Amino acid sequence: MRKIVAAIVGAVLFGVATAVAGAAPALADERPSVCPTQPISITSKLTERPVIYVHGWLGKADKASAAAADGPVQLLQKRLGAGYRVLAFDYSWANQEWGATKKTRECLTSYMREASLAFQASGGDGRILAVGHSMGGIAIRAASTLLEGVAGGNNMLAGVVTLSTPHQGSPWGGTIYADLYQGYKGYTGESTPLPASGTSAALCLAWPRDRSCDSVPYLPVGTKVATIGTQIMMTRKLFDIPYVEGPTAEFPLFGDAIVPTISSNGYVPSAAPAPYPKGEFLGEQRPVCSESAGYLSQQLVKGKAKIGLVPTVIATLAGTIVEEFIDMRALDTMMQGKADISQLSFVVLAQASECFHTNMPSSSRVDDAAVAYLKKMAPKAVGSDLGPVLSATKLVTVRPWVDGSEANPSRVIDGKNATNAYCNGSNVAARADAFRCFVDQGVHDPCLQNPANAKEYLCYFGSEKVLIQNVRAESTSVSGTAAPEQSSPFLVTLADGTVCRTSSGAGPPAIPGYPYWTGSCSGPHAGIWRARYADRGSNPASGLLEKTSSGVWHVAIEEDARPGKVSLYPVAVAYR
Amino acid sequence: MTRRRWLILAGIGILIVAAVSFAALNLSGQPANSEQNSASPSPTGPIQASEPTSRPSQAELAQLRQALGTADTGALTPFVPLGRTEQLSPAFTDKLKALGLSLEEASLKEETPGVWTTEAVDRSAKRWEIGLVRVDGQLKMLYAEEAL
Repeated sequence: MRKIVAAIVGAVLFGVATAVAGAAPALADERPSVCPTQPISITSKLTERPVIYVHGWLGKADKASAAAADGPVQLLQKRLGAGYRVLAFDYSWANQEWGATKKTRECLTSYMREASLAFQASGGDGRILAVGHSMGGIAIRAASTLLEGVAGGNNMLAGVVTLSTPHQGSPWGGTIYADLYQGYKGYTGESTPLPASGTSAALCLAWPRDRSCDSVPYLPVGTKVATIGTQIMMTRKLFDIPYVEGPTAEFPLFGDAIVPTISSNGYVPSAAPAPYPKGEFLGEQRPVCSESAGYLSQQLVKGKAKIGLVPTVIATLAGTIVEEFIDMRALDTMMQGKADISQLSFVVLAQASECFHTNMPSSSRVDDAAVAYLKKMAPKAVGSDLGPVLSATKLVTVRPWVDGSEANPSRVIDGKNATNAYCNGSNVAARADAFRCFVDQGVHDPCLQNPANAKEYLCYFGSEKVLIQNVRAESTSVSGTAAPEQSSPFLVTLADGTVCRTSSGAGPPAIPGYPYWTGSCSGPHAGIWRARYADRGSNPASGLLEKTSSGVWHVAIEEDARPGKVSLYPVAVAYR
Repeated sequence: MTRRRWLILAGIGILIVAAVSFAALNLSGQPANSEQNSASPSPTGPIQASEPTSRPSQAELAQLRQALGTADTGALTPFVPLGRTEQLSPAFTDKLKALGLSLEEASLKEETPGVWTTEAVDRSAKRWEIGLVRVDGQLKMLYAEEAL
């Protein structure tokens, strides 16, 4: 008994100390966070789609745990196979702080962005996936709001799968039971499933959430989301025969014993009254583990449960389990959805279950479900049914006045006698020498200025080239300052004759997965040239997606004939 | 006093100790330190939990043998962890009888302090392990599972 008492005292005191040292107040510090080096560093180029695993409270993703064969990173990698690269974000320096706090979300955002850019650098679409276990799901949700603020970030996160994330809290949140529970466990050095009371992680785990807790927003538009929450059913059997009948013969714990499934699968209403839908909810899964209390007790007593309890605690626990069945208080309170000290014995017992909170990421059933969702979320691979297969997209940097392409224009417009003739910065091309020219009632954009004659411009409209003469540049300011070879394409042609041009203006309403637009297309696939990122001008490949290993870029077109549906088509030539 | 009640009281006592310790730490200006904390002495108090560790007697084992062998509800009920309002399922006793269990008292051993195990063999020679704990003086089956 003394050992238990010592352990509990130690745990409580440890909790108090941690609370003092680690409790995170609401955001007050506006300085950018200095992020610790991540154990899994990201190389400059990632040739496979990044999948970032984010651990939960009291967890870690150091090199050892990330490399562990039975750890979540390796298990996910093995199941996902080629085409995906599982990375891990470690925030063990703040794993008793609420996952939505400033530093965690800033550092996670930075890590996600780094992964996305590395994927883009090797020709990928830059869209990443994420898996959050427990509070890791909260951290991902919180970080996603910062992604919305960075270039291309709005659509950087293609999908998120949460494993046992307390979207709607837990009955254990904000209670002292966590400390008592850890007291039960003693000092084993193993990860425990509950943060110490007094820490912001424990406080904000409560529902309704304390006002001091940073809010957890919905995921951005264009981010798919799926949730997985396990349910442990405890059965009462002797000799493999149920010995009672009725509702107490098999009773549910709080989901995985820590987070109820109504919470782990409670993403949709979790940020209300914030407007929903945001993100695209793919679905939820609720793997059920039916566990015999007797079997788990046997595992515990025989020391096979590997949950790090000293024999004295096991002995007391064994007696307590029987007492709880006789007393029924644990069952009654669980049925009422209330946490109670009487349930702790069952929580400890449940640790041997595959469905237990901390065991979820290593559960084959859970991993299979997560991987199925991830593969569904990954942007559609380009197939041969999407258009003629090309050897490679030709990227043409237009250089009239240098390469002679200004010769033989389709039309010549002379502004000398026009009542209104002037040019200013282009709205559709980011090049420093691109202008929008107005001649009487006509508007021409983009028009490339003759470096030797500032009153002469060649305007490109696909197959048509218009030479404008005697028009003054009213403004030297232009909308873009990129060098020609570094500017975004302003016109692309497909092998079937479809021509897509960049456009300006607010554009049509966003659709899931494509919150932006680039322009419009005419020809066989007439429609809207859709975009995933708001990176026009800053990205030489803006508007181009899904580059294949053979160098074929694609454009996303919402065809007029198929409103709301986007198809990817291979690009023959992209002009910039 | 049940173990749980003891734990609750112990928990309350511990929290008081923790609060006092925390206040003392703050007053003395010493930073809290987990290593120091883990070395904190256990609280002492009036709680003396009963230690239900006494070895099952031959008479108790004989009663258990009879209860398992006959699957009689009245004989079995004291050994089963039933709630106050619960009754042994008739289906359980029927199936148990069909098993034809025979207790092997000689296999009795203390698995961990206060938890005793013994084995039983059914009609098909399958071996079962029975975990026993004592609650308010009465032996109860914590588990009866296939022997590992």
